[in-house]
Amino acid sequence: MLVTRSLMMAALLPLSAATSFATGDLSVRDAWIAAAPPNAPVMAGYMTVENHARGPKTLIAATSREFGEVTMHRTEMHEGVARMTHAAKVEIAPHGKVAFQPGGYHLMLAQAKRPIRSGDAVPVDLSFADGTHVPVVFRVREPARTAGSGSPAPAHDHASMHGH
Amino acid sequence: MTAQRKHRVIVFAALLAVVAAAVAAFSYRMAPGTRDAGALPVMSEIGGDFELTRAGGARVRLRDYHGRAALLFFGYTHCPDVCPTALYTLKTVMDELGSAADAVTVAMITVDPQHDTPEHLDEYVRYFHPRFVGLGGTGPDIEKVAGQYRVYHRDESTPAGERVAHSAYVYLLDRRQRVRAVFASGAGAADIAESVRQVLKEADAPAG
Repeated sequence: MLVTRSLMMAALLPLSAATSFATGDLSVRDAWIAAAPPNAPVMAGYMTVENHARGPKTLIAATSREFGEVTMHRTEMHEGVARMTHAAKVEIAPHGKVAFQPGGYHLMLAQAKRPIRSGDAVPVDLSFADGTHVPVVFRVREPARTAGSGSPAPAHDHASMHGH
Repeated sequence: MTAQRKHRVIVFAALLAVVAAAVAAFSYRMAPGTRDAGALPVMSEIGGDFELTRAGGARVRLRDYHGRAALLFFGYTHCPDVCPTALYTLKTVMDELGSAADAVTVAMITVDPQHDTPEHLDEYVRYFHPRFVGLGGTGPDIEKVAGQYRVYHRDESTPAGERVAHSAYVYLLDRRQRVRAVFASGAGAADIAESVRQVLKEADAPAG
């Protein structure tokens, strides 16, 4: 079991190492789209954008040939209420990064031109205020399983509970 | 904003404070080391029976699920981030429960009945787990159940897109349909599964 897992990890490593996209001082990694039902009207894209420059960079638009509309949004939770706000631009501080992740910033992908399935690769072009374009390939997949508990207990503690 | 709408928002805001307090209390109880059986008191101030519509048009009442535990989530399909994340978490909960999941109903109730027909919703939720149920209904149906569960929801659509602000809690109901826990968005699947196991276990006792 453990051997199998390490072998799988080893096989996956080159893939994850390859999933970084860069233009000039900007790079994007961990780009993925949450797999969604075929009748979902919208999907969400996530990524980490890194700015290696000495000045700030501003992400102003995203487009994809696979979707009629791509917009930037941010989910804000306030006392349990989720509210999605449109983000016209997202600034990345000098030598900083911005994570687009569930419950926060995300690309909202609408009007899919074809059914988008788990495993698909979706090209997205990111435009920055300084004229830079970063072409990124988003992988469609299920979200990684969360540790599941707010406590520092390691995951295998939970797994062991299946035994009873 | 009309006066009526404004009034409604104020009422929801007040109700919301109740749920927020309940969640805070619940989260406190869930702190590591404080978990024990019976740590899930009945939250009698929220919940209750409701009648909604399933795919195919059949009317469904909460009491039809008597004897089963239930996890209820309120959302809408035109929600790219929060709703799929919650449904993936609930899927993981079902996986963690193993065979115990057979005694659990997971239902997503739409807060956007105008766009989410029961058929559309059903197809949507079944993608995450074949036994998830999608429940819709008329506007008044949804208003009623949202009120019972203190679910804040407000249409904030703009010409640029459809958006509904909504509270993103998951409600755990015991086999007698009483609310026993409310999980905030971002709650871990293992914590939810543990609470489900608790209510399933206690319901096996004769006293229920």
